[in-house]
Amino acid sequence: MKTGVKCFYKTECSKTREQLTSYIDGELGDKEQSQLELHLESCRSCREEYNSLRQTVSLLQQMPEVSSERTFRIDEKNVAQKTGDRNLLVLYRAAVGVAIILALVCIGDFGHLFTPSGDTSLGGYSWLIRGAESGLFVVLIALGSRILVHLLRRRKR
Amino acid sequence: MNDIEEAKLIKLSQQGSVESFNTLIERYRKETLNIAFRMLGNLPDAEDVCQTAWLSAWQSIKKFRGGSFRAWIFCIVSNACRDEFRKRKRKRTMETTLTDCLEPSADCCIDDMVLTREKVEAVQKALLQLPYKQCLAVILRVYGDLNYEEISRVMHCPSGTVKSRLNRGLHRLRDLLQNGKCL
Repeated sequence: MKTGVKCFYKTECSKTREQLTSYIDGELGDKEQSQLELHLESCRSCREEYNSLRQTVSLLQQMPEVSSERTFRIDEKNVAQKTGDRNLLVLYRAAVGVAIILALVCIGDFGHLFTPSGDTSLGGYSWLIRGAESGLFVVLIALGSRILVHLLRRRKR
Repeated sequence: MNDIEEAKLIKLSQQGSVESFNTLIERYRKETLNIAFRMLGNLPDAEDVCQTAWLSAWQSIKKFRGGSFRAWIFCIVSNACRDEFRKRKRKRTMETTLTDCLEPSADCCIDDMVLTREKVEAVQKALLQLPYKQCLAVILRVYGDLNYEEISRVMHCPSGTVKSRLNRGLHRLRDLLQNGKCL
């Protein structure tokens, strides 16, 4: 019987402790609130727990505010710049995407995936010529997209 | 400014009025800055986060479908704080002490010994020691004055999760402050 009572109080206390924050914030329903208040009247340790949490919230509320001279106002200039930056980013991503696809095509070409077997028109060094061609192509695309983005960014400024 | 005036300003902003939007910024400037500062513990970063947040709010104002503007802007600020937090590889440190950048009117509060400077800094430090989500829940509740329903919308989680995050956050904060002899 004694264990049963102890058990009951333990459950009641842990339930109360879970609800203390909601109680402090005024987010408990009427019924739960009156049950909790009844328990707080009879249980010293839960009352102490409640008081310490209450003090914590009150300390947080007393914290002074920070201030800054920045106004965060929006003007046409920074709105346009932000939109421009976003457009450039989209353009750059598209250019990189195209470069990757072309690079894959070139690598496929390098591995003779697109060449009919038996094509010996380039002689014994055909793989070297194709490789150099593909590499140059990839470098040119990457450079071209980078220059394009750079020029557009300068023009926006 | 009452709610009707605010609704008018939001509508005008959605139609492209920068000036109306700037009035909204002026209204929530202090609150957004304080939330970002308490989340990050660093004033220059908090200022940058607020600038980014207000710019993206302007760009997505047309998507605002009514409800609490305060909760909506706090959601954008908290997302910007999360991005900054990730950029810093999950480190939140107090690089600017709170007492260095207080409101001029707050000085009297400190001088009157309502809160000592040490206590103010200990509280800010304790907040930064909380796990990110618990910290955000506590800050939105205490400094953003949002209810559980609004916090759940800002944090994209059920209201029960908000309850447990707040409960665990507050208990942890209490323990940290008790260990630092602030309570």
